[in-house]
Amino acid sequence: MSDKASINNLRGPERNEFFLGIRSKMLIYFGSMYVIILILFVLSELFGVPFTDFRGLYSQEQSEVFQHLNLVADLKKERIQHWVVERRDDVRVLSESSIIKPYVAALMPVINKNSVKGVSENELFDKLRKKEDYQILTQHLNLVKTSHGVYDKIQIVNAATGAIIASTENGNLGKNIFQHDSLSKILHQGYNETIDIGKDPSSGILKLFILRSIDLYGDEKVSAVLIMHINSEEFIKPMLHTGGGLGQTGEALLINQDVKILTSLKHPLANGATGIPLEYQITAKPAILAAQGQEGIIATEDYRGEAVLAAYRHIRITSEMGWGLVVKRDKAEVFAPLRESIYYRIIVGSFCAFMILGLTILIAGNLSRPIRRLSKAAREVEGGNLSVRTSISSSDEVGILATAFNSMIHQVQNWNTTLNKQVKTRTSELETKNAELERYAYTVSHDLKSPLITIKGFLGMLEKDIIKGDAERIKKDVRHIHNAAEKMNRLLDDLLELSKIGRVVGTKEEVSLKDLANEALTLVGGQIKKREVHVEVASNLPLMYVDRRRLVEVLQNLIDNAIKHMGKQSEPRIEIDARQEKEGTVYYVRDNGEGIESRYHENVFGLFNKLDQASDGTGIGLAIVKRIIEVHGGRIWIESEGKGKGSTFCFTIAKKGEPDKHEK
Amino acid sequence: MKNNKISGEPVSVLLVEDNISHAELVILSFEEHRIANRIYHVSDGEEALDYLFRRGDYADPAKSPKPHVILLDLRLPKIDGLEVLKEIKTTTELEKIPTVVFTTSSAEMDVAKAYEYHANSYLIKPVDFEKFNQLMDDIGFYWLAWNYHPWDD
Amino acid sequence: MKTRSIIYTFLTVCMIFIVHTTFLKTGKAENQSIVKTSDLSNHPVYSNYKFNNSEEVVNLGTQPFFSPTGFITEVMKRDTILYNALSVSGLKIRFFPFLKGNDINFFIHKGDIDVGICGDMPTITAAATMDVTVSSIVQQGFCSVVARRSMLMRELRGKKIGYALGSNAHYALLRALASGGLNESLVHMIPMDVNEMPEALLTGEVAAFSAWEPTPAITLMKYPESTIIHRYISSGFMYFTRAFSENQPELIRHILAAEVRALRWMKSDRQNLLLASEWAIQAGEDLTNHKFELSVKQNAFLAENDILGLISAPIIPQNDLRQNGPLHMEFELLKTLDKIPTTSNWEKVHNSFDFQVINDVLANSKEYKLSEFSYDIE
Repeated sequence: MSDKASINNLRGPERNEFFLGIRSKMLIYFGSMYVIILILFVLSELFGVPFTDFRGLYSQEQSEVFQHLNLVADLKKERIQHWVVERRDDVRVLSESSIIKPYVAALMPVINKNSVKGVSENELFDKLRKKEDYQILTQHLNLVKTSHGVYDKIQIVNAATGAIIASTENGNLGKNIFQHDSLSKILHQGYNETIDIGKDPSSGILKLFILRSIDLYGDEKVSAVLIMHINSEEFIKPMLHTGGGLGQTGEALLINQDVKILTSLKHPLANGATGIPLEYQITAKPAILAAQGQEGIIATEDYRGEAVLAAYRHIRITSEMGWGLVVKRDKAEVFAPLRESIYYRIIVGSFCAFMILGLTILIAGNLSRPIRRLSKAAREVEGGNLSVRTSISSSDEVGILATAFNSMIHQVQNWNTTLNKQVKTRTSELETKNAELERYAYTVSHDLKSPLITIKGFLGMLEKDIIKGDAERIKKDVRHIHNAAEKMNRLLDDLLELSKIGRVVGTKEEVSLKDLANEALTLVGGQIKKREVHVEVASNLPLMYVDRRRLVEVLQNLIDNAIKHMGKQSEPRIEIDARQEKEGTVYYVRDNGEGIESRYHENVFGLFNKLDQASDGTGIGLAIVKRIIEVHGGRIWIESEGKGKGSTFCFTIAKKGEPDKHEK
Repeated sequence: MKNNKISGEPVSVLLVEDNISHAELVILSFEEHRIANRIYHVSDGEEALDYLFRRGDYADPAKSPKPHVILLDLRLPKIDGLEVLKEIKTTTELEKIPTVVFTTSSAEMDVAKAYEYHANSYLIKPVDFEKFNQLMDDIGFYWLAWNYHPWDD
Repeated sequence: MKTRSIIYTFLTVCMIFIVHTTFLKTGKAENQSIVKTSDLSNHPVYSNYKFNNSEEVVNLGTQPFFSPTGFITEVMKRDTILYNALSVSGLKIRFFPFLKGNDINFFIHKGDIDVGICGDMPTITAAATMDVTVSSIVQQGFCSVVARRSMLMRELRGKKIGYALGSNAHYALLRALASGGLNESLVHMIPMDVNEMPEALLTGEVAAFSAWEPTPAITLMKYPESTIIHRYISSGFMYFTRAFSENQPELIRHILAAEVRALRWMKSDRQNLLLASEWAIQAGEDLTNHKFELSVKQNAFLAENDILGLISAPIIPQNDLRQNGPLHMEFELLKTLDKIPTTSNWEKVHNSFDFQVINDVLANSKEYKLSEFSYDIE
């Protein structure tokens, strides 16, 4: 019961359970290993290796773009600031120009007087035009306007009334049309100079205004104000142009402190509308931060809701006013090439993966083939086929394993064959012995039964004869009984002897046949003399390695037998000699007696077989002889031509060191 | 005993038995029961065949009359009893002779073989003398008195 | 056995922690008296100042390292017109250099100093805890967050950042963190002095620091790999003790006029700016005995990017004082830092700002001689 369990433990998983072949395993392991490594590689390439300084392509790209954006933003900021400073300088110079002041001073009273009177604009204009001062003033303003090229309009306003004194545009003379906060700052809050962006009251165009007080009389009081207009879209917008350096989606925009755009936007809004300067308020982070006075870089969404990388700056215009500048670029555009290269990597990687998988299949198959063959062979061996051998195709550990397997199985096969042979031999031996035993038992019972029948029979007869009083018969009866009993006794003794011979072999020694023969002859001396047999024993006989006593017995029996079967031979002769044959030394006892017919040659050695019932002996003698010879690893047989031709009993003995041979 | 067979001719029995004592028991028994007139005794298989084939010492038919029944022991020297039986039953002149195997052997093999060779009967020598006696008696009566013989010689 | 030793260790650690925090608390309690972060009377440098608190003397506290206010004050120091204007009323003005704004506040509180020139945060602190009048703006520049390399603000998550506790740069740092979606709890803010910051950045002790000029400029110059990753505009003001402003309104105007003149003078000619730069550097070196690390020109350049590049009218931007405006937020921050009592209210601070006085000065250019320059240059 436990054996069965232990065998099951030795077995591995069966093929029809979850059996993952070595080839599939290799495929899965190596394949997934490759894929994982590839993925890790690509990931690390893109996103960097944590805990190290390598930040990956993604970060690098981003850094580069931010650097660029920073550069552009700083340049633009500087440019705008510089430009504003230049414009303020222009205005300052003009306001302090010695050309302007006297003429303005001259015109002021005229205008004042006329406006008081309520003269119409056109009338006033006509009047002034005729005045030389006005012409020169206006000319000068126009000169400034055209030479700078930047200014849309230049006006001079009366500080007291707010009315326009002179302008590069005709019309609105004398009118108090410039209702702008910044003007009132100069007029009433003591500001020297203001800058602002707003809508021109007369035209509605978005403009940058620079206002500066004019000190006409040298009393450091504001008598007049110079207002210079700049069309912001025409002159400020171009400064925000980003060109090809920031790609298709790059944009720079300007906002005021209320996060309202100061120039038109490059892209439409998320809802498709167009952002109107000074009206549309951006809600995106970069603009808000810039408006608040912060500067930096950020990755977030812009006014369209698109993801962008942005650099934002704060441009301080006055101590009260600042603008925000945002320079940005769409993330998608920035990373497009990177994305492309990712796709490319994925494609190439996948292609490589397929190739690798294919190769892996091949390699796995190749490596695992010998192993699979081996396992298949092992399975067959398990099934009982010992003649299977696996082919040895590789010169590595697997090859060693295969070679070892083959030789092991070969060994096992040999053992198996040998054992089988041995088992067969032993079995047949056993069978023989068993058969012999059976026959033995049968024969014994049979032959013991016989004398018993005799005894009982004659006892019966005896009873009758005693009643009859037949003394003669009584004597005969008693003799029969006596003989039978005696026979039984002898039988039992011989049987015992026979059984002993099978079991116990005494110590062997080297003796010559001659010595044994002589010893035997002394034992049967009586019979020899009686029958007048002439015995010849050869000399120079080779030595035998035997149990001395037993061999003496053998010779004794053979000689005795020979004497008994001399028959009518008048010159009985017995020869004891040996001859050399191919298989070895053959010893023999030859007589010139009555011979034995060939059909009886086997029988003779059988238990209780007597050729002649009349002769003495139990018939066991030759059986004993045969047994002794066999125990000595030899063979015994009879050579006789037949009746009257004498017989030769031949036997061999195993040499010293040779194992006992049992032939069948 | 009344026997319509008994017509005064001598009834002969061939006893093939190697054990002298056994043979004597049988002979004495037959004599006692006055069963057979003539009992011929041979002690080995060869002799038995010589007798039946009338060769050798038994060439003279007068010496070897065809027996009315053969009592055959199986364990015989020289030629085995079964061999003899086989010979008898395969020889035209002899096959008709009732052959009774009379042996100590109770081996199934022997029984089977005996019948295979067409033995007419298989008897086992009893150890008990009373039984032995009885058997002898019965053999005599059955085979010699009751049994009809196919020929008249 | 093992578990027991673990428990003991744990208890000991807990004890130490509790003790430590209680001491911290008491430490904080001390700071409740805000202006006295420490008693500066025994300061190695300040203790030598002879203030002379008589009515005839006006003491003005300057910060040579607070660029470019240092320029302005150095120019003002040499303004003969100012001195003349004051002496008409029999007054003298003295300029005393300090290392930081709160030091000035300490002495204002003490009564030694009458006029302060400080950044937003010290100004608000003064306005909240004392009675002052803020009259003009003296600086409008940027506080920068400098990092070891270009990065997004959000990459500072979990990193160490150096800053000066309670200063403009502190507020600027918080705004910077906010722009990157971070807050104080997500980074490690390490208080330190501005002179320690460049070194700390180089060695990696901090990943970034927040400071006003010239510290960032110096850092960029010394360590080319460093980058400014964020800037936040911050301002500085000039303010007077309430008593002073109420008692001596004219004096205030004269002083403001000196500021305007200084601005205009420096703007009129680059050479003037360079001179002022030189004077400012000298003043700084005198105060600390450390060599200033920027050249005259570099220092001047920094100033140009500040208020001096702007319109030369130091008018306080009213917008900045709106509810939830930058100054208000700074006010709230100071409360959380316990720099000002939590009971302070914004109204008081707001009302300390006088938007009108500078306009008065500017409107009366001639009277206050805003376009005249007379400086004692030797």
